[in-house]
Amino acid sequence: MTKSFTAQLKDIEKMTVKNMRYVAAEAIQDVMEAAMTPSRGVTKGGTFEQGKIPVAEAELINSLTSDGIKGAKSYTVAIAGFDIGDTLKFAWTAPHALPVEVGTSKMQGRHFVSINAKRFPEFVAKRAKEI
Amino acid sequence: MREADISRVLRARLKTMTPAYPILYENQDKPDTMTRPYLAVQMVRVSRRTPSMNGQGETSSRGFMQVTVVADLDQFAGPAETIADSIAVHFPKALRLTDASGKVTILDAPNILPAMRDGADWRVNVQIDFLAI
Repeated sequence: MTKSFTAQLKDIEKMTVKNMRYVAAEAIQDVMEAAMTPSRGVTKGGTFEQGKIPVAEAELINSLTSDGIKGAKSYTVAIAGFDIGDTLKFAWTAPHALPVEVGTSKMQGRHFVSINAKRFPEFVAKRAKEI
Repeated sequence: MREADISRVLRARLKTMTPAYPILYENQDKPDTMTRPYLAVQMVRVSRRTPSMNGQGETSSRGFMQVTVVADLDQFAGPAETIADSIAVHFPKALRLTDASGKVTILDAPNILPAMRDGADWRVNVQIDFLAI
């Protein structure tokens, strides 16, 4: 049975929203996965790497809170429930999170959040090419 | 534009700030003679892209320069915030810094981060987003 023009438009609308949701959710996940890419802490024999989260005692990486859900993988749960128009909040609650991010007088900033957040448009463009 | 040129152009702009503050650059030990308040600079690279697969076209570089205001403790937050504000004013959105090596554009109003205590320092970070072509 042939669909009416209105029904066809509705289908296109549903598909567009679904695609928008896909691009947004995947791009947000790309940001979070990049930010949560571990780099062995210097005190554990690792080297200094910007844009990755340093892991020595794992307190920082495990302090991630995504929309109130705690844990290093909490972002996957938060993103799974994401819909277009929603706001997602991610926070690293370890006391040394800000000094590690921006640096101190003794160490340079790792910028594991800001570098990857600023790559969001790049991730959106990449995901948009998949649909 | 080469990364070395981007750093040089942004550093040159920072040096023209008035009033001028001592600047501690990357890969430089703090001289004993340098007293607070002073500025510490870190260049942070986000991405470097060439648009075409054949390597033609202009390579663009995105990133930010982080300028840290290092001030004395126990002076309240005001003096460091005032310096941070003046840095932000010195790098307004859409500012274009051009020389023979290319053009650096400030993408947005600089972001002034929450202040933090670090040993004997009070630090306020200002992040200046740029696109260089």
